[in-house]
Amino acid sequence: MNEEIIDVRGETCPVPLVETRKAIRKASPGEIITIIGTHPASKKEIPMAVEAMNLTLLEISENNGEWRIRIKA
Amino acid sequence: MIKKNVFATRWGIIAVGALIGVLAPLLQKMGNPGNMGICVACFERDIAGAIGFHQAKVVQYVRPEIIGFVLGSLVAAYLFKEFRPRLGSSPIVRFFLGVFAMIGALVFLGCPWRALLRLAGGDFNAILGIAGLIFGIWIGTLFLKKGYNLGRTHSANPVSGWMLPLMMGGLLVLVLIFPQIQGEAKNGVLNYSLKGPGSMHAPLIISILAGLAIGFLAQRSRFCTMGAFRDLILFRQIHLFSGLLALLVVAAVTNVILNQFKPGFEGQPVAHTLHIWNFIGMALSGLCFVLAGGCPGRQLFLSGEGDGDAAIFVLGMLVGAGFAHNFSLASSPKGLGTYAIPAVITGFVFCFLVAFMMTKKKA
Repeated sequence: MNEEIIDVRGETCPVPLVETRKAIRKASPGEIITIIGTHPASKKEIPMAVEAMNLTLLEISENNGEWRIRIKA
Repeated sequence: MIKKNVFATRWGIIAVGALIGVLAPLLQKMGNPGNMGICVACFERDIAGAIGFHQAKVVQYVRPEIIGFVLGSLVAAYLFKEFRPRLGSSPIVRFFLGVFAMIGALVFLGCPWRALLRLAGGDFNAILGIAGLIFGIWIGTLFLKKGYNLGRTHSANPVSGWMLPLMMGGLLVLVLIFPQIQGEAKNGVLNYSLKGPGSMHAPLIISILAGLAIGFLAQRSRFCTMGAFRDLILFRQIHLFSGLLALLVVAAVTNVILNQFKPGFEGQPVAHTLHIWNFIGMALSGLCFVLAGGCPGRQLFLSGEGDGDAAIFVLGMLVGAGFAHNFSLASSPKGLGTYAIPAVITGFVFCFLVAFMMTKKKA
């Protein structure tokens, strides 16, 4: 299965959310998108956007201030 | 397991908006200026006056609410392990965005929070201000869609993240060492207004507690008035907007209950009726807020969680307040400042220059 990686480490609000939305728009149904970032606010915003778009939030993990969010388009 | 932050839910953000909507009119009832229970721009301007950045005698007071916002956010960030010292995303650009955001806000006479509180108090002049704010944010979102970006931030030593909270703590210490003396315009290093909006304030302890509560909850919920409109325009997402709406409705109801609701255009407290300039002033501020990534309140809350870039925006606003009053850029209830128009034009030129030059077309 295709997996799109969006690297937004160091980017601040709202860039991670904007890039995530762009990736979702381009993705085919069922495609996995992994967003890697560091901005704390975006770690909250992205899951909310995913929920609002009725997509599946697969995983949120964090290690040393770097978070990963996996979603299914 | 994905842990849920209740304040980040829809009802959480509505609760935070509603709390601000109650606290602001109550702070006004307890002494803060009319329709200015809370105003980040005005309060930072008052702080700038209190420490001598400008000499406008009627707007000088160290507003404890601002101190509370930063320290409340700091406490929340530490408690929930979200204190992340970081900086390096075009700090000097952010500084001047803060300067022009403040100039725009002082042409209108209020930040986005006060625009809502003015409307909730019956000041219909705020409608044009809010329309201008939305227009400025909309312009900013066009650049965001095209790839506008101030660049990546980097992890920093905790000392960097502590700078603004320490400064706020220092201001609080100064207030305690040099408290206001009845009838005196100065105590030690601090200026105190004897008349005008700067002389009107709720008791120190009430203001600081309200500020701490709001700072704590806003950090948890990431309450942001600019973000509310930005998300609505960009993504049709109403999460933050629902908090903003709760603030407006609850503040209006609280004002009616407290007999503070005075509908009309004329004679509104700390406001003017130059509708075009209410619109243009807030449009400039709105554009600056989008380009910097947050409304002035949000910049304070981000500063509390260690964001050094947001802290630099706040410092820009403090310096902008100094410029606004030293160079007669700020409005008053009588009308525009002498040099407000060229300052606003300069602000727009600066914003468009930054926006065009920092927009990268992505493949």
